[in-house]
Amino acid sequence: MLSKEDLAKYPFTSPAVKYIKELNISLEDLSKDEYAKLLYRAKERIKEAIDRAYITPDISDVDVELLSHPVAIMLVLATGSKPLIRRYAVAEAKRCYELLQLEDDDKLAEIAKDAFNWQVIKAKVKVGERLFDFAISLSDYLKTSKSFRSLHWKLVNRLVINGFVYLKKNELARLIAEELKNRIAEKTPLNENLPEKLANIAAEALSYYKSKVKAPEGAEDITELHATLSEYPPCVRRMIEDIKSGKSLPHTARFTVTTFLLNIGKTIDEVIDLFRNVADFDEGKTRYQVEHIAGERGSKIRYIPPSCETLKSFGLCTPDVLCKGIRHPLAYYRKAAKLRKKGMTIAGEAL
Amino acid sequence: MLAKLFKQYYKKISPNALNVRDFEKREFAYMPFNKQTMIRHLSFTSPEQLKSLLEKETPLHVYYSSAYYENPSAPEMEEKNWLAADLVFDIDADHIYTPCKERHDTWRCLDCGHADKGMAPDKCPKCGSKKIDSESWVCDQCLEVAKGEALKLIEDFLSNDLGFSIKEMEIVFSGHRGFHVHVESPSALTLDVDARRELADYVRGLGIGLNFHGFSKVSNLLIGPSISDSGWRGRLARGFYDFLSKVDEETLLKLKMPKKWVKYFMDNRERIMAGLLQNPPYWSWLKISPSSLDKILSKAVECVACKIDERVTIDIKRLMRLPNSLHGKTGLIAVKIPYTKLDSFEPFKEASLLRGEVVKLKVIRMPEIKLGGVSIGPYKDEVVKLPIEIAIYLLAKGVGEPIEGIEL
Repeated sequence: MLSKEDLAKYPFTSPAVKYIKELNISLEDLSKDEYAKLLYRAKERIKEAIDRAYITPDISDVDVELLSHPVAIMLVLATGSKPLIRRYAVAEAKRCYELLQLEDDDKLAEIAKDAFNWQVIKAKVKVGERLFDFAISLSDYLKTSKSFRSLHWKLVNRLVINGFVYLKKNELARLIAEELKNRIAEKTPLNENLPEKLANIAAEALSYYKSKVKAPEGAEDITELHATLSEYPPCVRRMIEDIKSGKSLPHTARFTVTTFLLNIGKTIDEVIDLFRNVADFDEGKTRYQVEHIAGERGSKIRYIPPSCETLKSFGLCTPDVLCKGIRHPLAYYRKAAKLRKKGMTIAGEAL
Repeated sequence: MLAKLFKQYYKKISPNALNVRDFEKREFAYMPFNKQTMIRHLSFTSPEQLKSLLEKETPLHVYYSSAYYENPSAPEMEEKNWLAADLVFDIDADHIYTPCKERHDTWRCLDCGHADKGMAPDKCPKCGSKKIDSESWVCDQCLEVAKGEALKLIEDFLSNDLGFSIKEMEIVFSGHRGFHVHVESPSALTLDVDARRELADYVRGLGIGLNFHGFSKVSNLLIGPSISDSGWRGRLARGFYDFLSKVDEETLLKLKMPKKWVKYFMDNRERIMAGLLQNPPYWSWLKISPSSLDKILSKAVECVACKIDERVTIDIKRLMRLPNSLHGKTGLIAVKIPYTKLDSFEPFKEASLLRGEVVKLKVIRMPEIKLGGVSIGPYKDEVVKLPIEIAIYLLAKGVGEPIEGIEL
């Protein structure tokens, strides 16, 4: 059984959601003085998320902690800023991850089952020198682990027996946190009008976020990206849109964008700037990877984008009329540029 | 002649044999005789309806979608509204090296005309073109290899590791020299492209790392998994065991293993291999660092991974050959094979249109191939007497001409 304190720590579990629902607090109620503490905590959550992509747990008042979770999410959704929504999701996930690691095995399994309807078994299996505490069903594992890029999470590197993937305790905690992040990040921005007091908080949060996000160096070059964007193949165009909206893309898509941009003459810095909006952006890591792809590190091989066929197999191909007869993204770019020189329109119409 | 046989087949077939799960949610497609076009976006409410179309049109090839759609006949993919898809694995001897291919397969580059015997390369070694035309032949050895891969896939990977029930799998002969395994378990149907890629990579051993499977160095000892371990741990141990017990000196040197080590290994192989079989296994006699072991990792993985065509698995909107339809280039039936019969499956016995009779046929060309333990060919521009199932095969391949006056 989850205690009230547990609900405050894990406000996404079904008893927590039920508890919140039964309090039946309306949007108008939230503007009342009695909820001032609640709004304050919600603001605090958002501010800390913006400042350091983290939220420090505070269970001094369990009701406030519990209720401020959905309120903060609502406020963030009301800003309409996808990058901010993603950043908030990352911060909530980190808070949750730290707390989960402190729980005992029974509670951890209960939270996983209860929150996401996961099939989890307590395993306690020792294989070689490794002790696995839990096993989770294959389909639950695949759904959540796909956003991880480390080889350690790749299915082929896991112990998989009879449809279950074996995990250590901290790995299950990480998986729960990741699923929480995905669920918040996938929510659609709010369009309805909020009561003035709440709308003001959302507006404040957005302008605070904008002031904090580093203005990308070489911002003009990014606008230049815009100007020629229509000449990029539709697959790359879509990936760039996703990156700009702060989505975290699979490795193959990042690789495609990076190699494409480098090959049409963009500089390493320009490419790094593009990734700045991604929620888990880490300049050091991004620079390392981009330099690697540019052939300035390691193998010294300068990579080219994958062929259309490969992109198709990755499920990244989104062809338009100009793609006909094209077998490589760079060929599309050359074709489009040629057509423009001839004064022809190249607006890609979906096939 | 072939069209007539095909028509007879579709006339006689029971509609039930053409049924697939959730029939009305599938897209069907076919390729007519003598036309290089695909008629797509068809859907039917019953197998009877499909049967009457097949009877009327007598197609060369018939396909159905691995996907389930709300509107399978919508002409645009977006309008079809994808609901789910079977998880499909394709095993084809075309993509697996077998020594017999040097004897019976040939290929030709369509750009520069360069031609050679053996397995068709991905691209022409002379001009680099990817337009390769190949002529491949069914033979006992190729089929055995494909069967072995299919059994490994079904038992070892899909069932033991990934937990799919064999009862929920449909095993179908590809009509040439391979097999399709359709997993229809509820938990498989809604997997997205990323998840299917992970499963394909799992089966192929792609992206595997030694350190994730129990290999490490503790002071001077090499620690490693046991061959009896579950999942890829045990499989890796078995892969190293298989590879190392067969490998020769030259191969190890080619893999850039240190000369001194290769000599040590060759001199002490018996003892080293015995160590790997101990429980717990003793890896240290290998006297090798994990980083050197990494150099032969891909060879070990090759011994135990499953050779599937990953594009088929990843594609959630793939058209697959319809079970119990005819393969236009072989004249063989893409029969469903019960799991317990896979091991003994012989296509010319169990997937032929007609059997037994001996007929005369003019054979334009045919290498020597072994089928059901019997050698046939080689033939070149000669009239020969052949069992009718082989005659149909040669007709479908376009290398046989019926002799006037002889009815097939």
